[in-house]
Amino acid sequence: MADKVAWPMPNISAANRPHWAAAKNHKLTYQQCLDCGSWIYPIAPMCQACWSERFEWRPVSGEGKISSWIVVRRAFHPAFQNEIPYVVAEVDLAEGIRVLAPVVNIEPEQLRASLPVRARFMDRSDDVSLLQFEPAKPA
Amino acid sequence: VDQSLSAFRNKTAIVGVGRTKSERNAQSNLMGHLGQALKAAVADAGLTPKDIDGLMIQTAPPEGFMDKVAEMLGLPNVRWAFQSWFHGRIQPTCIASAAFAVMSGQANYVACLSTGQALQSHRGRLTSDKAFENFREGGGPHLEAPEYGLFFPNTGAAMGMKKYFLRYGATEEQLGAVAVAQRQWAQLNPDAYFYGRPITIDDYMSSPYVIEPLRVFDHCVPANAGFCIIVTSAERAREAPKAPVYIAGFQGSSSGKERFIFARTGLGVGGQTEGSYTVDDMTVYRMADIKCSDVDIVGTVDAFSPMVPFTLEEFGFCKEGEALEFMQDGRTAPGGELPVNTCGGGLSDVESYGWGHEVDMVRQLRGEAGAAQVPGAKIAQFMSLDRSSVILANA
Repeated sequence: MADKVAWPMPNISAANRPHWAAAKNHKLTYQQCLDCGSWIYPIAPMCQACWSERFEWRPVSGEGKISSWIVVRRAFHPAFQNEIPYVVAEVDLAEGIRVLAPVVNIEPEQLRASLPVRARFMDRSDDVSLLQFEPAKPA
Repeated sequence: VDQSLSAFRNKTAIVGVGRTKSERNAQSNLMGHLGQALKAAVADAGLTPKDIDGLMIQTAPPEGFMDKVAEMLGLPNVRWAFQSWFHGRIQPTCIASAAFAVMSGQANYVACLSTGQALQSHRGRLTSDKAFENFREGGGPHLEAPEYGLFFPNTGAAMGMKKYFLRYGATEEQLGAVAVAQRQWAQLNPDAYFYGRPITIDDYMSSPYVIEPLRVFDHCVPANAGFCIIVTSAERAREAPKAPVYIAGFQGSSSGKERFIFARTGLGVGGQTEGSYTVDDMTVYRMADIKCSDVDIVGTVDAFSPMVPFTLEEFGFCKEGEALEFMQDGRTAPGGELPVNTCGGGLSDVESYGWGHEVDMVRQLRGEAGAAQVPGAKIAQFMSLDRSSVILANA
């Protein structure tokens, strides 16, 4: 029964389509400003630092440190009934961007602040792969 | 004194308030709650429906659109109507908008109406993978991300609380004091949903996590109730049957990457820079010409319990990292040195987007709060984590 429930999908729009297209190829990309070099985050039509509208989608390292995390212990949607408990963290990427994604391959009790993590992807449908993090060194 | 700001101090007042009892009944009639609250407030102000010429609505869509409310509730003379997104952090700006409508002569009596209606909102519109709050720019502002199993705003509150625990070493048991204190206040408010049902810290600690580190008691009550506040000029208010409660100061929501609606500035959640925090000079205090130490009663947006200590720090009632320690030993509970959310608030009365708090503050400043009355209360402040705020004073 649970496997027939559709997994909730992200809101893919004209603005973020390149990000999700790259994710499908297991590449984590964000916009970098071609005028001042800043990473543009959240995804936006212009650079938040200099208002330039010239940017390129570029890969980031995918390496970061855990800033904070939560452990979801109740399923709010049937697709997650067999997933609980699951960990979702805010991760400070080396590029200075703080992103939100699940952390896998670690028990909740093993998490700690500033734990080094690296990006990986979970293929969720033919079109969508979702960002995850895992410990940079096996836990 | 800042002359340009003091021009707005005590120029308007709240002249009538009304509310209904909080109930959890998915079939309840929200317009009925609004109508009853409106009738109570108009009677409280000694007015008639024809006197109401301004209408401010803050409800969760699609219920309560302003196009139909005046018609349905029999307000024939509305010449200024306005409607806002329903988050509690926008409530102070709703009050300020009503005050500006009065000060500029666009209306004499503005009825501000809101419902606690989170229960209705659960019909798939606010809290599912189809929830419209999840589909705003860059995802939800409270870290909603349905693809990661994050559907509710409690995600952001839990993330902020965990960050606070990691940075300052506070404990989950200390957080429990927030819910326990507000439940104590609710025992003094017969309209509160949890009236007659107190909890202890043991109840709190033995309750299950929802999103760790938040437990069920850290969440607001999704119940229904109606609220009405009538704003008029200070001159008109002095002719009313009840003593005026003046709008002494206000400021709007601060916005941008350094503000996260469930974290104190500098905590390091969402786009925030992580760093130390000290309070700026704030417009709301300059307008009211007071300091936060002058405030007798505090109300906060409190959809989730972490918002209460975070807000006390944001406005300077407590130093960075010290609010939970301050909230121990009943300091914000009945009889405590700083009464906070004295109606029971979102956690124990109803998630009212701040309107329950505001109605209660008016009653406190009039000396009408019954068993919950804070003796000698003169100044009350309602505030949110994005710094929107209203200061009320009875003189």
